[in-house]
Amino acid sequence: MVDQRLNDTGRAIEYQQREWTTQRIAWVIMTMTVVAAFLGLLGDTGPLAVANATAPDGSLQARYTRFAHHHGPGTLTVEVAPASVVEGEVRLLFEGDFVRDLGVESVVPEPDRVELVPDGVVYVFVAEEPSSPLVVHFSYEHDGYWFQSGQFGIEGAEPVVLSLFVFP
Amino acid sequence: MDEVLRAVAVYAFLMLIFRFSGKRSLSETTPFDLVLLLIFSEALQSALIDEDNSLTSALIVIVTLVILNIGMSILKQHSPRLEVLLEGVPIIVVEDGKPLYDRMRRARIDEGDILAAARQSQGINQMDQIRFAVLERSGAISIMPKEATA
Repeated sequence: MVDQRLNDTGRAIEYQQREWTTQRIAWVIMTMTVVAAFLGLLGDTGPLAVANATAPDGSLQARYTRFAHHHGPGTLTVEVAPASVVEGEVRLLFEGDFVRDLGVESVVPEPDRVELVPDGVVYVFVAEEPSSPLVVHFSYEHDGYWFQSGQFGIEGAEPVVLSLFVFP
Repeated sequence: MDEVLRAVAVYAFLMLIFRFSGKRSLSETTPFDLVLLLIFSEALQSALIDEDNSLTSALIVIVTLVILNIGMSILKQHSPRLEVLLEGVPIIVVEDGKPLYDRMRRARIDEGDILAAARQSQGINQMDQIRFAVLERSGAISIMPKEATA
C-alpha cells in the first residue's frame, strides 16, 4: 500500500515536471509573440509593419502596411513624381479588384474624381503644384485574409506590386 | 506594436490603481464592486484595441497581459523589495485579543470584519479568543486562535 502511494506520488511529480516544462516553453512562445507584435510582424504598427515599393520607371513610390489585420486599420502613402503629372492631373490606376479588397476608407487629399475603367479603378487628382511630388494617403480596412497582392500605378506606366499579409 | 504598448499602459495603470485603492478593496468584493469591475472592463476594452476588432489584435493584447503578469510574478519572486512595493506587507491587527485600532482604522477594517473572519475560519466569536489577526497582502484576514486552556 505504501509502495503504491510512493509510486503514485512519483508519477504525479513526473507529470508535474512535464507540465512545468510545457509551461516554460509556452512562456517563451508567448514572449516571442509579444516581441514580434512589438516589432510590427503581427500588425499594422511597428518598425517592420510597413514596406516600401517603387515603380520600375520611378513614376511613384509607395509606403504601405504589409502586415494588416482583417478589417483593421492600414495605410498606403503614395508619392507621385512630378514627371507623372499629365495635363495638371495624376491618374492612379488600381488594377482589378485591388481597391475593393483593400477596403479604402478615406483618401487625403480627396481625388477630383474616381473613374471605373475596364482594368480597374482610377483615382484622378489635380496636381496643384506640378513641379513638386504629389503625396496621397489612403486609409483602408483590408477585407481579405492571409496573403494578398495587387498592382497599382500611374495609368499607362509600369505598376507597383503590393504584397500584404492579412491576419484574421 | 500599438496593442503591446496599450496593454503595457493598461497593466501598469491597473496595478497602480489597485495598489493605491488598498488591500480591503481587493478582498471585499461586493455586488457593487463587481459592477464597477465590469464598467472598468468596458471602458478599457476600447483603450486596448482601439478600432481594430480583429482576432489577432485581441490575442496580442491577451498574450501581452499574461506575459506581463508572469514576468511580474518572476520579478517579485527574485526581489522581495519589489514584492513589498507592489503588494505591501501583512500586518497584525489583533494581538493577544487586543485590537490595534490605529492600524485597523488605516486599513479600513473594523472589529466586525475581524470577527466575521474568525467565525468563518475558526468558528470563534470573541475577540479575546484570538491570538493574532493578520491582514494579509491579498486583503484577507487570517485568524490564529489562542490555544484552548484545559
